[in-house]
Amino acid sequence: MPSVMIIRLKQFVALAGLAVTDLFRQPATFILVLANIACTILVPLSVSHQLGQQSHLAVDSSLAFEFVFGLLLTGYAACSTLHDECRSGTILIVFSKPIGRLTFFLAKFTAVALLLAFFVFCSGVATLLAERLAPQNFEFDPLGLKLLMASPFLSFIPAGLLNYRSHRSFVPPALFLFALVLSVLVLILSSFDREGHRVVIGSMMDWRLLPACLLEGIALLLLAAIAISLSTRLAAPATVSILLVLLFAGLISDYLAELLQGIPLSGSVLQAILPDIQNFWPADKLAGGGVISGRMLGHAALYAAAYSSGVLCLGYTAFRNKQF
Amino acid sequence: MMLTRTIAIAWLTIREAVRSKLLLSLTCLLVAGLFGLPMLIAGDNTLEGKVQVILTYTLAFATGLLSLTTLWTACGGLSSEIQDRRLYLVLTKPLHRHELWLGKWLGIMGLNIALMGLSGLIISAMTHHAIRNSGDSLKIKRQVSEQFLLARLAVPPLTPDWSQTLSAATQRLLQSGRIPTNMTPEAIRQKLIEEIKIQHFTIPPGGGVQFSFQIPAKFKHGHDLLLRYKFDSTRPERNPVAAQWTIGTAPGPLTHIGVTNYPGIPAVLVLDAQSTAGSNLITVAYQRQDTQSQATLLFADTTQEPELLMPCGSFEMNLIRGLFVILCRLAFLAALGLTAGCLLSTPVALFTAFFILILMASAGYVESVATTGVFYIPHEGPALDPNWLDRAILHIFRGFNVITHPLIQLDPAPLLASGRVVGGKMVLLALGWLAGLYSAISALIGIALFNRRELG
Amino acid sequence: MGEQNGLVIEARDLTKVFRDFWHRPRVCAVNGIDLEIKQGEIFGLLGPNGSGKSTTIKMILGLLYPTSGHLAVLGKSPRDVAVKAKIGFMPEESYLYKYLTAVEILNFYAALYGLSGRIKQERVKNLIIQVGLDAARNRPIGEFSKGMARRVGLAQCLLNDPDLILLDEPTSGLDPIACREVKDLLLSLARRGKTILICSHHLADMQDICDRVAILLNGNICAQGAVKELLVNPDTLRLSLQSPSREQLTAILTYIEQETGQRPLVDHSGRTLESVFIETVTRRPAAP
Repeated sequence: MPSVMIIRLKQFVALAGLAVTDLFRQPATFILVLANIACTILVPLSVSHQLGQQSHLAVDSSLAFEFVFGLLLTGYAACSTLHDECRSGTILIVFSKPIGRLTFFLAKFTAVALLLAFFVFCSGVATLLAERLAPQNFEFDPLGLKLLMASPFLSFIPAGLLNYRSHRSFVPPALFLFALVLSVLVLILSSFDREGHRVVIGSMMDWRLLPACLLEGIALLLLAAIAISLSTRLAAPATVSILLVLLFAGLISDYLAELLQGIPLSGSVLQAILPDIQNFWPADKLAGGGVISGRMLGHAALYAAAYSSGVLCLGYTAFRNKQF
Repeated sequence: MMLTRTIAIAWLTIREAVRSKLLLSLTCLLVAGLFGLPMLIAGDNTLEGKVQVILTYTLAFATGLLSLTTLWTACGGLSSEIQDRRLYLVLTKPLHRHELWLGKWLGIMGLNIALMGLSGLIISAMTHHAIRNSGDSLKIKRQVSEQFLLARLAVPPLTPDWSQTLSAATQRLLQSGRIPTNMTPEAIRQKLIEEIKIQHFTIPPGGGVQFSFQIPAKFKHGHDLLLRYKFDSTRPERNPVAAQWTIGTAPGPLTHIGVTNYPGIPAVLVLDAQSTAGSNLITVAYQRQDTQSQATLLFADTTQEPELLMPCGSFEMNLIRGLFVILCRLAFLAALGLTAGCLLSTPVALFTAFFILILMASAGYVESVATTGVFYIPHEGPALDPNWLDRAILHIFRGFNVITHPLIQLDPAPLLASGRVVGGKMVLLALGWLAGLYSAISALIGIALFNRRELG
Repeated sequence: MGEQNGLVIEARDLTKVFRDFWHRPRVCAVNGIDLEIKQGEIFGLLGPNGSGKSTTIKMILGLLYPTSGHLAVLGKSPRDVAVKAKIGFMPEESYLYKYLTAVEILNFYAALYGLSGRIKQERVKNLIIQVGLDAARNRPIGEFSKGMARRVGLAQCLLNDPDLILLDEPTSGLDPIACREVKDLLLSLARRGKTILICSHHLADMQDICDRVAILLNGNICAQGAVKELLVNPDTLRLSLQSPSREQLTAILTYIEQETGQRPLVDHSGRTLESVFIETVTRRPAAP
């Protein structure tokens, strides 16, 4: 007879697996991930008046896009997987089985986290490409552009054929193939310079950007914890709005604390409640050749873990007593 | 009968928004933003700066929030009703689909009118309150009131006659023998005029420049006029420059006003009613008072010449006109959102509408690419020849520009924030283009798609 | 009325094929059916899940468009909006606006029918009472139970005094007394000349009230006709007698056996569970 822990683990894996499969099949996921990649790579190509600062622009805008689209994806995914399931009644079928609410709640959070992990990976790849393909001295990289333009065809056509032949959903294979093609593109472009000559593999990419994207990913995970806790009670518009407010407030938390200096304890309470998003904003750290060290990532991860745990506890408390 | 059904649908839309607490949430968010933003944003600690912050940011916030929620409600409302199948019971009634579409649009616009009205009241109240209750002197309060609490028409300066200067410059060029061979005569002429203009507007230490303004005959004398101007500097340090404005021309009465301005920062000079009485041709001369040889070189921005602002209406009426133009924009967005909602599922329609909003916000960039014809300008060397891809993308941008160009033209926020009039022409154009033509095209496409759509 | 030859619904070789994204046929939901529904009759559409009943109803309502074949409702195309003024539809699920009250919903649908003023008020009031929702008239639909929402669905279906009434699972979610009331209502409507088309899985209910039925399977009609004719088994005969004595019974059975060579089956005739339930519930005094 399998132990209770193993049963719970199997249930957890089944729930999380189903939820993440469902999330990957949704057209909104496809649109958001694709839009993030498109904006990240194309905006630096099109805005060309930075007088030598093109790479800097590419990095800054990519990181900003990752935050914004990541937030939208987090809010949407959390509500789609939890709130909508409560509203539609499918949760009743789940709870008619011997499944604990904690297992269910954590499985949903894990599903959103897995989706975010994929998103952050795509974002990282897109950021590397954006920085590499940004015009230098107002000249574009012809090889890079040609390969970039071919990449949607190389990924969507096979996904379309798969849908045609086997009637499988178009979205997940399209997403995964696109991520794969872009990753291959990164490897290829890291081995060629702008004139098309072979160089040492990896020398043409700014690999510092990967830890930067990961740092933002940790922030998005923190926001995912907030989103899943909010979605126990609130629908998508309210959840996304609150996330936006928290993101904005988190970015200016120092300024807000200064504003509230006159009121005792208010500043420290505010700083305790608001997530300190400034810790996760890597653009300033990368300026002037800086790197995101492992230690920095570790601290950020620790902060995110502690904050997320607290938020998830609150979320679970709201969910535990919810009646359907 | 059609009207009854359409109104029934509109009334249902409004009632749903009220009962689902959407209207309440939106109102709270709007009020919080309108009051909160000016408190959070630090101005330049002047009353004028504070009022500009109020007008600029509150209008931008109201427009942005209502644009987003209009799109959200339009897309999400219709597509979620289709998804939930609530529309089945409606469409099995004797109701044309265009009546349903129109009813939804009217309902959304009803909500927008209410919220825009509330925004207008709050903005007006905040502006009046800021001016009335500031700790500044009566003189400053009066100046700021003159600047913002009246709608003013901008009169550009009369273009000087460059013909003599141009022929002299042409003679010099011919004598020098350095005529560019890759330019047409017309292009050379334009370049010469540009150089003449730059020279005319460059003011060395101790130098000056003169402007003349022809005021329309309908203007009733007896009101203060405002001269808005901006100078820039070729040097990085932005030291204040002392100068003197002289209003009028000899042998008539002259009024001298001493000013100290910072380069790059717009300034406003109040021309007292008495100093401009009796004449429809106003001449103002700017004379630098600093004569040191190391002083900063100033020149007027040739793309933004000084303008004379004459009062032609009240702030409240101007604000109403401006809000009406914004409403026309919201009408277009509602039509666009409903069209997307007819065809797409709820989340896809929402995010599609979101991207349309981003495209509209990028209207300035689209226009610059469409008009200049290039995506980038090489720093050195000749311009690169466009290849087939460049040409194809340029056509796409030009296509987008046809749609987005009116959005730049028809933006009342900068006018309201600087006390300038939102004219009848802009109102009519907004009504015709945005609320009329664009909305009608969206409606036709949306209704056609909706008629073809099966609800199984 | 506009219908031809007394036919309210006329379908000839009606087909509906659902296609995928690549426009390839995916499912043939309705496959060349012929259907004629006359005025004043109650017609039942039966069949297992996925047989094409709902698809047929949606085509009649103009929500889906036939792939091929001919379909006329009250003599006109189902997409003709004017036709819908004479149709009432009660869907399987109550797709109602949860923030509105019962009265507001009925007022809204009445406005869509072009009813106004006194007529609208009276009709709404009468229907609310008729479906037994007078006590809950001002509660939001979101707070209603399933059965209550179904009653609102039935009420909105009858707002315009329609000539053709389409009902998809009308008794689903209703208690037996309410079921009986609905059936009685439908019978009275039919007597007034209304044409009724019902989709249901409750075969006993359909047997009770339908004049004719069609049985669909995989998009085809595999049986169609008057209920009495379909149910009759021509090979057997049933005799009913008022409780004869034992001796009389034995004599009758012996005689039949002698004449026909068959030993007949003998049992007591029974009642339906529905009639027992109704009798029991209505006989008991209400709880204090």
